[in-house]
Amino acid sequence: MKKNKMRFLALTMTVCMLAGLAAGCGSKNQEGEEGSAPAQTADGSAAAETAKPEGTADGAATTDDPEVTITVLTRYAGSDPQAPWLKKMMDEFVKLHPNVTFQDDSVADEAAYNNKLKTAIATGNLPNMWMQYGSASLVEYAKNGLLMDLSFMLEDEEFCSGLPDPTLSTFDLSGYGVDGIYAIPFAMQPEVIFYNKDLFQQAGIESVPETMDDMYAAIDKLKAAGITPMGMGAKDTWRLGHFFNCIAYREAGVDTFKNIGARTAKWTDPEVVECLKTLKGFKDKGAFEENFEGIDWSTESANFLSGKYAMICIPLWFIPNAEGSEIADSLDFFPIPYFSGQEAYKDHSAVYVDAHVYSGKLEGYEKEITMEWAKFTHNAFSEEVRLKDCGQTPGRTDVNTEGFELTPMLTKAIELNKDLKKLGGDTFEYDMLNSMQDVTRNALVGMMLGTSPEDTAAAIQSEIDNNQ
Amino acid sequence: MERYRRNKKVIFLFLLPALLIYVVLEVIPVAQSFYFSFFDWPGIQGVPLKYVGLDNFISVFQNSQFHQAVKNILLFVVVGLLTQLPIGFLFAILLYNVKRGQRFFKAVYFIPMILPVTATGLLWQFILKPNESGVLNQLLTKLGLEQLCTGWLINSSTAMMCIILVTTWASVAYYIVIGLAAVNAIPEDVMEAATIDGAGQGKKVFYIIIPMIWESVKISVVMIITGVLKVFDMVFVMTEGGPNGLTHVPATLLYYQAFKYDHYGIGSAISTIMFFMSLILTVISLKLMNQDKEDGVKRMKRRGKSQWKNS
Repeated sequence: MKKNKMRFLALTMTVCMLAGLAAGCGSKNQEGEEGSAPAQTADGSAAAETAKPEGTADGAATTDDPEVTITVLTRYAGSDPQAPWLKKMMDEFVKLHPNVTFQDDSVADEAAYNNKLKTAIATGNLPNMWMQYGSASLVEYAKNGLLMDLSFMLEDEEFCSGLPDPTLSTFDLSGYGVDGIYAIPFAMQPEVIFYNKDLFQQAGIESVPETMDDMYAAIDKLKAAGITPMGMGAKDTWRLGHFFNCIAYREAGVDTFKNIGARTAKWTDPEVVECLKTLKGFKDKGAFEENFEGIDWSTESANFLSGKYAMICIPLWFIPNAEGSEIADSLDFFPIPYFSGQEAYKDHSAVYVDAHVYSGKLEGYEKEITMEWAKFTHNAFSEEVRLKDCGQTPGRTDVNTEGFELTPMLTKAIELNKDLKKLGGDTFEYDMLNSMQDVTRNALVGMMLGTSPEDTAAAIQSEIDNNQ
Repeated sequence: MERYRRNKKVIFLFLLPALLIYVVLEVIPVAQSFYFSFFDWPGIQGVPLKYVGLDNFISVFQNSQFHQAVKNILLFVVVGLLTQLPIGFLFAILLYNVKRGQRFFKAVYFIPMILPVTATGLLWQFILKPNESGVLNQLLTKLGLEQLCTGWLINSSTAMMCIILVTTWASVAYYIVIGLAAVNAIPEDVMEAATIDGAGQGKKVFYIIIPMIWESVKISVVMIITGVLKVFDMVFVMTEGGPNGLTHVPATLLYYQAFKYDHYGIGSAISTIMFFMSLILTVISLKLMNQDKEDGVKRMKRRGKSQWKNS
């Protein structure tokens, strides 16, 4: 009797385990859809259907075309706002080319992505397409033939004319001694300040800050009203790094940091140290919550979207998060304030641009179809999908917005993108040392925890000096 | 059967698979790592290795983050030995004396061990969050101890210790199991004889149980040292070695140097240094633990000689 009971228990547990496995496999497909809600129109109804891509399945692939697998490695996965875009683009491309199979190795987490990419590069198993950040990171790969030269794309005037950078010079590597075009810019995301209108009103702030002096005044008013002026989840070091980019470019200009990468300027130069002092000044002013160095991005984001913080500094990809929150009606954004005494850098902005690169080892039909995929993911249809399905500002000027009512934030974002003049990514992006990302960001957090700006600058500069 | 037991060829044949796996998966990678530590390689297939001699080791020893990492790991070893070992074996001795509910307690103590390290790290990260976001700070506030609230994982005086204590919490069950097995192996008649001779619980623990489980203690010490020296997962999940390198250990530093900064030679140099650190610490600890035994044997011999002289 006891034996039968044990058998029954074992069988029940096995069935439960298998059911759990089946449920887990099923939920994987849902994750991509739930990760980013489709863009909403002003009245809250779902977005209009996107137009179909050009070409038909019959016209695109023939029975003679060989079977090919395109491997894609990006961070557009999980809860990334662009994960639905990637999935849709792969599905639509397969409709046009049924002989193509996609192997999507994308992961959202930066460390996991980094591990996958480095392993692929070390073993020679390059994906057909992957993404990089910054120009300097492309140099070694380009020099060693890992990246495809995309100069031939300039011949396609129709494709290039709609791009915000028709000459594809965003990732110009000539300054590093490498000729050619090795990356297509994707998803331009300027950094802005999202703010809570209700909290601003509560603190008696009548207009959004235009200058840093206005910003300091706003911080004082918010503090006086008992409101945390600005969220900063510096445990995720990129948060402080991003805010520093905004301050640094408005105060010292993008070229200062390009010159550091070119080794004609240093982190210990007075104008750079001033930028560090300005950043530290925000903490001294009480702009951030106490112990913000231990708060992570997800807590910061949740606190802002629940009305705890008055402002956060974040790129425009945050728009779907803001519009999807319970306090969406209270949220808006404004450009990073400029320094009154540095008007020459008023238009120098922190703008993050992903670099889509393609394997330089591809040959024959695989190369041809991968290049077709490259154009497909940067054409007007692709940007239309990003706009309508992901609520992201389109990266082309020829996107069809017919039948789609843009939200006020998206409208404002598109206008802001048109006005961008001098763009800079992360301050370390121009440096060929791979360690500069961590060294810079960690040093900024260390500065907030007590290191002086001068010592912080010296610590960052010493990493460069020790690796000359 | 006896014939097979004495046949060395048969013995070697049975040992061969495990030996092969050990050599291929452990010895050869360690030797390769040692070899790579004298070269520089940017992590791109096809780019040749560049011989740099001892430059990688010099660079590592001059790196202030490495100094911090070594300080942290030595603290980890000391606190690990002072917590995991005594707590583990104390619980083992307590469990030995518990007749009813022993299985229940064993299961409860073992729960932290079966949780994935990532889950444990994230769980404690939430508990140790700063301000009112963290459970620990909320508890302290409710108990009227707000003055103790802090950013546990960013404060230079608490960050590393928190990681060490969380690791202890997650690992102590392992040593409870080892200790319990060792205590259970003590013959019953030895304990009965001690009871008859009037030994109390304390004397039993110090004069019978501990000496008789000393070999298990030695093995546990070696395991703690070697396990702690290569700790990576808990530190990476909880703090990623930050803030600003404050909680770096050699393994996290190795990860960053090799896989983020493409300094595979420097990463290999760090792993070689860790190997020798582990070896040296293990040899020293074994020697110290065997020292008492050797002294005891010498004392016995001296007593034996003097008794013979006086007789």
